[in-house]
Amino acid sequence: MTHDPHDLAGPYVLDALGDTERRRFEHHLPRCAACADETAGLRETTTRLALAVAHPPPPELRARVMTEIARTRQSPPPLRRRLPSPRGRGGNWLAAAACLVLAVVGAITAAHFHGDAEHAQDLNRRIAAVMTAPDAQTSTAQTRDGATVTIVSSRSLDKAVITSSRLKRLPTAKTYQMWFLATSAAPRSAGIMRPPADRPSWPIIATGLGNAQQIGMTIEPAGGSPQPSSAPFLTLPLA
Amino acid sequence: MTDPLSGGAAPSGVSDLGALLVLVARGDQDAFEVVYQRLSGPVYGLALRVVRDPAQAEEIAQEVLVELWRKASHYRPGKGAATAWALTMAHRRAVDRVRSTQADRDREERTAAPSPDYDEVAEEVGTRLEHQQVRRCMRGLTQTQRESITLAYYGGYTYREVSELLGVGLAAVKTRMRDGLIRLRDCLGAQP
Repeated sequence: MTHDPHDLAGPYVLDALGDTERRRFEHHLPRCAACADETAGLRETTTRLALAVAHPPPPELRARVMTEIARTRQSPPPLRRRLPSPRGRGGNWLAAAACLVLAVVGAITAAHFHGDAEHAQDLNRRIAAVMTAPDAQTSTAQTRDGATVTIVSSRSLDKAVITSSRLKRLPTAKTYQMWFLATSAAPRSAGIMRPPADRPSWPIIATGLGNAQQIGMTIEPAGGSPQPSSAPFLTLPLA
Repeated sequence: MTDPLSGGAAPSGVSDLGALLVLVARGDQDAFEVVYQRLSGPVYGLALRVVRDPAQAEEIAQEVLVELWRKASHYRPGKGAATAWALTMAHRRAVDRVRSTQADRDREERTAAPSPDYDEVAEEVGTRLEHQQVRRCMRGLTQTQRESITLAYYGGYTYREVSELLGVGLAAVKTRMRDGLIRLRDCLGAQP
């Protein structure tokens, strides 16, 4: 399934989203600086719309409010906000897929690249190029046992960034392999993926979308196969 | 009409709404009284516009103002103006109210076809907006932009409902809301 939460900023500031979409967008906001900026900007305008219809309340309201606050305990200041976790929130975060990829990359970068900042930067640059391509599209799919695979693909760059989280760990003789799938041609390998036990897997940058419409995922012998040995257990559409 | 945001003098000479909220967060009831003078008109007026019923609007205004007292410590000066914070809270509550009322009504009546009064909403806003500038800038929008924003913000409709009412696709409604708001912002200038 494909999502572009970015165009929901207008309906969001107008409170014109349904509950589910609203929660989804709010979950997306902290991960997406562009969306947060746009939302704050549009909010200035809705504030003006609100001020335009100001109307004095009945005078009795003042006494009622002052009485009520006098007997209402104030809530303590919130502690420093933790980063929202994509886990345990059902499907809400699907909309955050694009930013999720970045979060995953950030986490992996921190974990793997203590002594290799240059490599990390280079990887980030290449991933960012795909994610910010004007024709970038995101799709996310979930396996039956709750693992998630997210793909951001761009036709103009001929590249796809593939990330996963919570994929089942495989015996050392096996590996996950990604395939470019086209109706008119044999599957082509798009790379292999070996998820570590304790954190999201490496993102793969796959080049050569060609005429593929989908990416599929299979389990293969370690090192990968020239052709998939079974039907893919997961497929995702490409841009 | 006097600007509801210009009235009131803070007990300690503080006049900025954000600074007042900092005092309110520490339990300063005098500071809260100034906040009340500044925000009760905008909060009540907005609730009244959305729910239409003065008794319900008053209830919502009371809830929101007490919430401002309760949650004053959650206000972060860096994250948008205090007025925007308060009015966002007020609008959301008003919209929640019309939607839950609407849901009750739908269950009771089991009516298939909604009976939208969007012409009325749009018309009323067109003639009664106190702020000349907003009215003028609203006129600068395309008709669909204006209708989409009016139905959603003042009418409490979701964008899906707006799409139904106007017979325009969902993607188009989202775009018109966003483009309309951007055009309004450019017309209104940054500061109220």
